[in-house]
Amino acid sequence: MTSPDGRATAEADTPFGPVTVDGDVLLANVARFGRLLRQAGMEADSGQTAIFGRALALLGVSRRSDVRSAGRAVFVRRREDIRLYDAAFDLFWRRRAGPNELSDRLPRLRQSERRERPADPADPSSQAGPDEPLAAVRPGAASATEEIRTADFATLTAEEARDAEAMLEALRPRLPLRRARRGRLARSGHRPAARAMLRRALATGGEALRWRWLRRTERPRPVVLVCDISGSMERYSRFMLRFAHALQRSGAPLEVFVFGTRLTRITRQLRVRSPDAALRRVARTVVDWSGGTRIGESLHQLNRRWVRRTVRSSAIVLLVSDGWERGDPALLAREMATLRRSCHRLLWIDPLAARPGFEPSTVGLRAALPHVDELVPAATVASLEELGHRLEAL
Amino acid sequence: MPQPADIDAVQSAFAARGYVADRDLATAVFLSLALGRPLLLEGEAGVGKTEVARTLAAVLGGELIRLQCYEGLDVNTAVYEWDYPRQMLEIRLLEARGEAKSAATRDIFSEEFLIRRPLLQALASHAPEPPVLLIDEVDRADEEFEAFLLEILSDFAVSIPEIGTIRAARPPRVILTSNRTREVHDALKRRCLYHWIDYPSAERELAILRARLPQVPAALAREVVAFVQRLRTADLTKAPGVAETLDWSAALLALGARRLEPEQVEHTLGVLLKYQEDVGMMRGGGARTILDESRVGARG
Repeated sequence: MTSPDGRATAEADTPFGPVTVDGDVLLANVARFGRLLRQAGMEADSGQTAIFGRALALLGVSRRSDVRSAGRAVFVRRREDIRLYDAAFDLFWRRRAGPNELSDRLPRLRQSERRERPADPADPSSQAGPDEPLAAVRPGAASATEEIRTADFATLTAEEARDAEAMLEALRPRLPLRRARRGRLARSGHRPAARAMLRRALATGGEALRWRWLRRTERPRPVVLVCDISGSMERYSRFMLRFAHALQRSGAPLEVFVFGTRLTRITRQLRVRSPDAALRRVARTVVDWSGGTRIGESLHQLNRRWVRRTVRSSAIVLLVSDGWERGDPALLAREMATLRRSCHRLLWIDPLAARPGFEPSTVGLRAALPHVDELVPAATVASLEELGHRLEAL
Repeated sequence: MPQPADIDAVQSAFAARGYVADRDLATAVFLSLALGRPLLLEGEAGVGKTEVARTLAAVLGGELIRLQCYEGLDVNTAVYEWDYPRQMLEIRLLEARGEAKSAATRDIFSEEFLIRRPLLQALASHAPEPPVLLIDEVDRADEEFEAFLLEILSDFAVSIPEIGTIRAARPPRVILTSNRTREVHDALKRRCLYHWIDYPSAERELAILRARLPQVPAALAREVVAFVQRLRTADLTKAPGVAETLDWSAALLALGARRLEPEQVEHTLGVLLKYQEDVGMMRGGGARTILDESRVGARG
């Protein structure tokens, strides 16, 4: 194997000090490199830095590519971080000046890792005033509350929308469960617990006097929410994301994706306690807010990149969209079929379906319907509450 | 063979056993041995993760102990279990001899009645060379088991209530693999060195093919590699791994092929592609296009 970097290195060229390893210089530089990685957003703890120091003591620092690979093995913990690590390494290598200069350059390093940023992220929570506390639902205003619960999201005033959001926040969906492989010991159950029975039999001289059984146990079923955030869904998607956050807090293993013209995974962004903070984080990540729609394309990305990693065959997939598709409906149909095969239930959640006289007329919906387990209308707080309670039975 | 002295030694020892490792991987393996840390290998299916452990065991001359993970894997199948039927028999025998009363339970819970599962085997090994413990597809095990694994990997000891703590005299070399069907927990990753195995370059894939199947004619080998490399850039549900390249070459060899013929390629696609959508896409002329493109690329 050739190594283009494997030249006999001159003193000034090694990132971690002179070729003849001076322990203190080396350690100081290793620690500084660890700090740089942390600033770049990787989790480089002191333990890893120490291991890296030991690795360099073993390998020496004369071959730059070896130092790079060693650091990669120690600091990188997921594939996505490899590029970030390499960039940080190159930076450290090129500029071994003062640490201050390095940190000045870091923001740019971090950004180059992301794709292009939104020009002006349409922050869904900005209308609700992200920093002021959410207005609680007024007590004693039962009838007004009920009205908001059953009113189409699109018809709510700004203040009513805040109330609706508070209601969604209070929502506690019932977790769907699936059968687990491991059983639990019980006095009755569906299969005998031979192991436990024999174990107890020792106390009675080898005679299994009492039968023990394994009872079926259940584990939460994963839920995947894929939400359309294109222009036509603007009035609904912010409520759907609140719903997603409520699901997340309920403890179900949840994956959330949003799409307009491209698919973005926002599972991690939603994992904070406050729904407002969660939505702000989402707004910063998503670049195609309120734009066009390419459902087929986005589902294609979901099927290729994420399904086998995150969706898993036992999952319930909730696809929220009005079906306004600008892409090829044939592609959408194909991707829906693939998605349907790789999950437990596939539900199409359509806010327009709640309207009187609704007909599945949008191109996208017509293409998708044959592959959907159920079409669920959801345009009100009440309908989302109902959906949250029905998940259990799916 | 003793532990390799440096990265080059790892690389050449692996090459001598038919595993063409790039320097990156060799560095990770060397550090894992030298620092006594488990090595977590991630990568698409069929890029040779499991093979690393097998080769490492051969290089070091240690035993390869493999634990295949799956959902629901528990301590009884991973670490140890008491041999209940034999214990039962023993009790009956003791009874028949009228010694049941005097026999203490510890006779029955002795190592003689212990079934050693892979993790215990690896820890209790007294072989001169410590074994290589392969924990395969750790992403398939559930999170409870991962937590347990974490414990084992930090102190290389298990405690069995009836016997006591069994500690490894010399810790086994540990290789974990993951296909990334889900993310492995960070705490577990923190214990390990990490390496992502990518699909090999054309040059390296050819070297692997030549090392593994030397009987494949050189011209065919080059064509196979060019075709597979081109195929990986197509929009497939599951791109073929190195394992598939090897299987396919073996299949073509068995069919007596000397060069790649479009028809034969279409008939043998099932060896390369494992999803009906992919096979369908390639059958309808897709394979022929890729074959043509790969030939142009190889010439150019």
